[in-house]
Amino acid sequence: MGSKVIRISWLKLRRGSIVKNQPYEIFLLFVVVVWIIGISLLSKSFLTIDNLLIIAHRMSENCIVAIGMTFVILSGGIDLSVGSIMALTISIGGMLFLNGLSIWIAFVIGICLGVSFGFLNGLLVVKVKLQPIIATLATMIIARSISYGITLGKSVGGFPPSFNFIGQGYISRLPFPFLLMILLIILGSFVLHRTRLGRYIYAVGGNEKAAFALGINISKIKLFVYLFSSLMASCAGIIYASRVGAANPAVGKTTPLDVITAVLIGGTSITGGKGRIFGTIIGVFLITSLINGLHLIEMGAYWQIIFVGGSFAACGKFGK
Amino acid sequence: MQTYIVKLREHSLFHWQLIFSFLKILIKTPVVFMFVFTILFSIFLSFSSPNFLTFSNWMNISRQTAVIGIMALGMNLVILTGGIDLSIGSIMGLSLCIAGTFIKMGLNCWIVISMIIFLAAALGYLNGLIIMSMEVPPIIVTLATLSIYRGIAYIYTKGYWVTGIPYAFLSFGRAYVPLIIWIIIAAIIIFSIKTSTLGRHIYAVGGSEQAAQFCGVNVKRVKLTVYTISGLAAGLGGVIFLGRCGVIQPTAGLGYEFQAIAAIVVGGTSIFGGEGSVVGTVIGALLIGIILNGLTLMGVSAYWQGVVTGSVIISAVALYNLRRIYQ
Repeated sequence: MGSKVIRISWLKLRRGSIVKNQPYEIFLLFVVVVWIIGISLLSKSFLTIDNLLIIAHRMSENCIVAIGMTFVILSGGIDLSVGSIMALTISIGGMLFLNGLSIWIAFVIGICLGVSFGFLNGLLVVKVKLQPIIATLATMIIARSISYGITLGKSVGGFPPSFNFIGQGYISRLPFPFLLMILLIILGSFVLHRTRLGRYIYAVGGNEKAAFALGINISKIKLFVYLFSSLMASCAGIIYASRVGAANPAVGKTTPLDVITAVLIGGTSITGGKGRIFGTIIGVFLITSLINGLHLIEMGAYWQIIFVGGSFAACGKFGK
Repeated sequence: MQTYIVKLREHSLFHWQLIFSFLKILIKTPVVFMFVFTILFSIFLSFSSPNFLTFSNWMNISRQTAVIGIMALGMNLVILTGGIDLSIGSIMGLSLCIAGTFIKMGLNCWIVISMIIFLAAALGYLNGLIIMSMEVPPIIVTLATLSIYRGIAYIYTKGYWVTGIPYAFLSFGRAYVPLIIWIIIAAIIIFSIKTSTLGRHIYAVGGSEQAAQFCGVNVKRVKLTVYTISGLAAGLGGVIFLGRCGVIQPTAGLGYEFQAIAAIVVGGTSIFGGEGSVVGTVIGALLIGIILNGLTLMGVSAYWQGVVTGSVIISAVALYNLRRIYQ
């Protein structure tokens, strides 16, 4: 009788320790493995180097934005304006370039303006005390409007090849955006998991009142995450502009939803405080390879959307 | 005589008090404030453009705002319970796309319209079912169904538009029909939310779900109902949209959820639920519609109108938050 009780409690204890160590990431890895095996069975060309490089190329932009979005969602907020900030950055850069400015200066100014919108987001959330969803909804509308307004709805093209290298260049077979993405992943993970700032972000997201009681400057943390997210969005916009060779004000309309999907699939809780960059990367990879894989199986462009939504819901369920 | 003089004195004080209490009502009731602001803004606009106060212009405003206005009414109920429904644009698009085949088959106009509304309500019910059964936050579920429904719409139409809509359908978007439909729906919702049990339950669930549960409110049923109503409203909006647009595209309704949210928050509903009025949503939708119309009449490019919309949202919500802080 006594040993049974001990055994049961030992079992429970053991279960507890496995479940407590990132079970969701194990589940995610499982899903990725199953998915890769599944697709490669259906299409011989999925696991080729060329195809993987294509996936890497495609996923760079969304992944960079997703890193910023992870920071925001971890702190308990949300940023709907990332797509519009992408558009704003390249619209301003493109128009300045069209008016004779050097392309690098033009896009640096574009990045500065994009980041200032992130600052606006932060101010609205922290000082005006708007809810993040409303504040970023408003800035999303404003930024998109400005993008269209200054470009009059047209794309700006004709960038010099030195600029196009950012989006189209390769360094020993690896796409340049992919390398940038790796760099930013390392940077993001480092800040989030190894610095005090990162711990504070988790704290603010987990329990804001407790974080405040601990003396954490919540305003600064929140301001930072929105600045960071807009910086990432601006960079992603530049990569897009150089990849496509044109600055299009209509870019990024589905980006906030795609990126939030990826972040949430990756295991980050929508209320903040839980989640890792690693999960986000897996999320972006899943979605990008999903679209890529479906292309290969020739399942039609629109099924992808259903799968994205479906896997989203499924992962949301399992994440609980 | 003396009492008469005293009464006169009381009257002169009374005027001050009247103004004072009116101001207090203005600040305390966001709806009244927004309404007054709308009127003042309209007066301002009538000076800056001669065409603003014309009957045809106001009919135009009513037609343009009706679609979002109706959808915002439906979503308002969802937000009042503390949830959110981001999929209304896709619900509208999908129900229209599926109805497209039946229109081409030549079915009676009323049958097709009932089909659109029923289908949209069913999609909303599906939203509610998923939210209830999976216990995933509504924002995630409706984000997912936004993609799923939109994807189904694309697949169903294979990207093609449906043109050649019979005139019977187009009549829903002409003249004063959108306005009448909007007024009827708004009246029904405003009346029932104050008087019916469902209305009280909606506010209760939004205020505190646990407390409502303890009070015997069937939280699950309330939530299912509001998501169905939200879908229904999306379907109705789709009918009017079809009447105005004349074609069915798989991209119909893209982005409408955000415009609806804009109208709802400008009208004073808290995004967390439990607080807010349906009248406010009507006024919010009207205000945004009037502002956009006024800007067009003033010659402001359509591209720059978004800046104004965003600023209105920020100002309105900031005002409401200030009021809540200082109460």
